[in-house]
Amino acid sequence: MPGPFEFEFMQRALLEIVLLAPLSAILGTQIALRRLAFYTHGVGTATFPGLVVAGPLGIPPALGALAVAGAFAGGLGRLGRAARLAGDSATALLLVAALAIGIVLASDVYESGAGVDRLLFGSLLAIGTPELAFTGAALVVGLGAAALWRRAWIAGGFEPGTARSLGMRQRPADWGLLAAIAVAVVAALDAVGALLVGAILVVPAVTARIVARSVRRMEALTGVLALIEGVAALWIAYEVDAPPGAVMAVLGGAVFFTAAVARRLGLVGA
Amino acid sequence: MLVSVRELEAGYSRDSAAIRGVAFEVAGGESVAVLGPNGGGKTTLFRALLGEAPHQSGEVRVEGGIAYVPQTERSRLDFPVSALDVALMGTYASLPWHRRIGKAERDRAREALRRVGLSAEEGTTFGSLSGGQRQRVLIARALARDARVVLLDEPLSGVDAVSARLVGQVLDELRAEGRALLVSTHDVAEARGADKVLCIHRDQIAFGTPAEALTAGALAKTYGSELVLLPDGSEAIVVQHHSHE
Repeated sequence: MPGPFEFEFMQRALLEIVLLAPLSAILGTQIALRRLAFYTHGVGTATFPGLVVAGPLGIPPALGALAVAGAFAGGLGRLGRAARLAGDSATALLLVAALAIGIVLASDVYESGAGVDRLLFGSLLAIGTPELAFTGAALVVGLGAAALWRRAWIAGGFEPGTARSLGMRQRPADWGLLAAIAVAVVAALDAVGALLVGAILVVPAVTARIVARSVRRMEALTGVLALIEGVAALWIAYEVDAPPGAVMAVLGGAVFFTAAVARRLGLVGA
Repeated sequence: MLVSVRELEAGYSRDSAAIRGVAFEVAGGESVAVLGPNGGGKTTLFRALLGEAPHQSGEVRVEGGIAYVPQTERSRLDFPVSALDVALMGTYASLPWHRRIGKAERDRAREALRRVGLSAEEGTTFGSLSGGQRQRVLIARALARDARVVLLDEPLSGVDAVSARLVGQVLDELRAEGRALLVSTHDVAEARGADKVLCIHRDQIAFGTPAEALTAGALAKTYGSELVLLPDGSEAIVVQHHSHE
């Protein structure tokens, strides 16, 4: 195994990426097709206060993050209905509130400001056996949700509101997708941090969308891109001592830009 | 009867129903034109038949499964699905969650595309097809569903002449197979070609054969100021304002 991956913490980080890549393929594709990128970013950011309080309270960070992510996902629908807000407005409102609460908790209540950038942007050192186990569980949840509802996700995404006429139940499928995304976001936090979950769950999928002409090909390409970009980001992050989430975001953005230019020039295209 | 509706009152608001007093029956092999202005309740009636719009009172009975062909503007043209992928969606409900789509489902979807004259386009992305071809793909999806009752939401609206002829042929075949068709339209001339006509403008105005239902009085109640009757009374022209239910 070459250079950086001789170290155990890098091997764990590599395994984390290997587990996250298929999650990105299954759920990232739906995030891109169902226009849930902002929701995904919102859930990621909303986990921040959960992560901040988890340490001082002595609970596993994933549990704190999952509790807040669940409250965010559930609160989104209620807030939208109660205040008659559009989905993206409700997401923005809750996202800003969660981020502000997290910052106040981190800096003033628990005085743990030094760890904030690790929570927001991820760390190679943060990935241990419990984190890998959680990501493995998130992958099982993602695969299970896709087995149950992938057809309803595709039919409902292609033509909102007609899944029922095709003999499928849309509402459980939609809630299942939102829940599976929330779990995947929490799983991705250790590698890429609360602010940059989109680097692995959104950017590879929207890049694949530029090229792919079918949902299945989009899923396959998303998984391959997430894996390659993730591994390359780990390597670069190790070499330059940078947060892996930020490196992956820059790398993913560069690949997206290249694909977009190639499409513009007629070299690739869906 | 494949469709039986009694004193139906339905809509999304608890306070006011979008449609009231709707009662009709449709037998196998029969076509019914659902005629009314935009916002008159045609789509709500279809949604009530599909079980999507809450019933405040009344009864709806549908036998042998129901398929719905919406207007093409509800579909996302940027979605990466081919004509065959869309037709395959009609087979989804017949598959248990653990079974993958197999040859039997692909054959069913391909046969449906053949019936609407789109075998050659099965690999074409849905968004790249013409408006008429897209309408035919959605009909193929309903055919693949193999339901006894088929609802079509303005299937000839904005389609080219070739597609209109092919859609008409397929609808005739479906009737001959003993299926019940409900076709929403605001075109009075199109409604005259159906076996029966249901005029609706929130309330049911008339139901019967075209001769019984398409009277000047019923049309005036259905369309109000949007209706222009020609001097000899033989033709009705509807001036549609654009609004959506």
